[in-house]
Amino acid sequence: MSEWLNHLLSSGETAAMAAMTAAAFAVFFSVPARTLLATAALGAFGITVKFSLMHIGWSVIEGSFIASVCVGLCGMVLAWLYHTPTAVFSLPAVIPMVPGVFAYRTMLGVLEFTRAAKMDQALLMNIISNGLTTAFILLCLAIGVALPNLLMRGQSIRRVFGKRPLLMANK
Amino acid sequence: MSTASAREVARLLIDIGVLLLKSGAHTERTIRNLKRVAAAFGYEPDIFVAFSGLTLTIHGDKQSTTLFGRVSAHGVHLSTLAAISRLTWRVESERLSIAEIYQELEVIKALPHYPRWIILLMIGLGCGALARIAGAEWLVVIATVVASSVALSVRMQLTKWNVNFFLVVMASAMTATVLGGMATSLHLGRSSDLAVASSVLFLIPGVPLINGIMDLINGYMTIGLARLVMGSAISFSLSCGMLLGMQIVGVSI
Repeated sequence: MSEWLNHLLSSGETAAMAAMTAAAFAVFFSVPARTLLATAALGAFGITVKFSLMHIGWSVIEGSFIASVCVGLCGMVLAWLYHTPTAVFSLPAVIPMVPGVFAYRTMLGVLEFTRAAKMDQALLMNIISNGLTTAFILLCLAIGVALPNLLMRGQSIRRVFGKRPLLMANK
Repeated sequence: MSTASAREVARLLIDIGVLLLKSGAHTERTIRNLKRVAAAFGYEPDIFVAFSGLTLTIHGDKQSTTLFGRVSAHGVHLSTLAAISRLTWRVESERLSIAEIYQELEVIKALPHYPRWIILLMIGLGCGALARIAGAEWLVVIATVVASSVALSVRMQLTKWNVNFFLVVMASAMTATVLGGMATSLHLGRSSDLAVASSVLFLIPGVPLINGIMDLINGYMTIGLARLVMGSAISFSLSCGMLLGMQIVGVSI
């Protein structure tokens, strides 16, 4: 019971942190102010999907892939509701999943490798594994953000989904 | 249908296209928006988008017009993209004239960035949150917040002085690493290397890389490759800056 509660608490904290990061990068990219809250929520949703999948035993790459696809799809719906490009939502929302630590370890590994006096196989394996993880996660995030574009293939969301509901038709 | 000469419409399309590309639109979005505007005036342009500018030809009844517009810088301003997207729909539905569209464009060009201190604060908190997600202790998170905010203000100041973009990234990454590396020097916690790893994350060229992949997916090979190369070059100067910073503070490697 307490283990379950602990898990819930820590994923709640992670979600809040992801919301913060998504909002921060949304501001950095100058998104319209009216979309900030939804962007933060999308960021929290994405990382919750990722960590939930990792909790049931998926790898970080698979988790990031499914999470970024979910973010891309939700971004499409939000873009339609708010009448903005999808990137406004999906781009800041995938930033919390950026593999910063893997990239950092790869860099340190490469540096150490160039200094090593003799061949160190364990180090080489570390570099390859961290480097590939970084590359694949980045590719997965890019696919997630590009997904609406792939699905719509040159059409505007408005053409496919129809006009927005009146409720959101601000300005 | 509104009427205008091919030349006027071409001029307008170039202005809109340059604004879109400067604000971080990918090629497919740019072309889609421009074709929507052109269709409202009854034209069908041929558009070529390159990294340093765009060329388009509008075929009129008697003569064709070809213009080139230069894209001097590639920034990110998503509000501009949203506003232009709305404008192009209005051009279609409300039959705006060329003069009216230029009036709207002036408003869009004047769209501000968020105030400097808000961006600094948010990026600080955002990078701190990234460190926390990666599992850092709160003291290390605070070090990350300080390091990334200061590094971003260095970047803004150097950009204002028109320093070469890659040098700006390098200097900013170096600042973040030196300040983040303090967390290790001061023994703030077991996870203190996360301060360095997280405080440089705002420099990652996410927009060029993602736009590059999108352009490749959509078949715009030249600009797609150019964007990816640009992204790699930025990442490279980011790493160089981090290495310099680590040498300075002597973080154990």
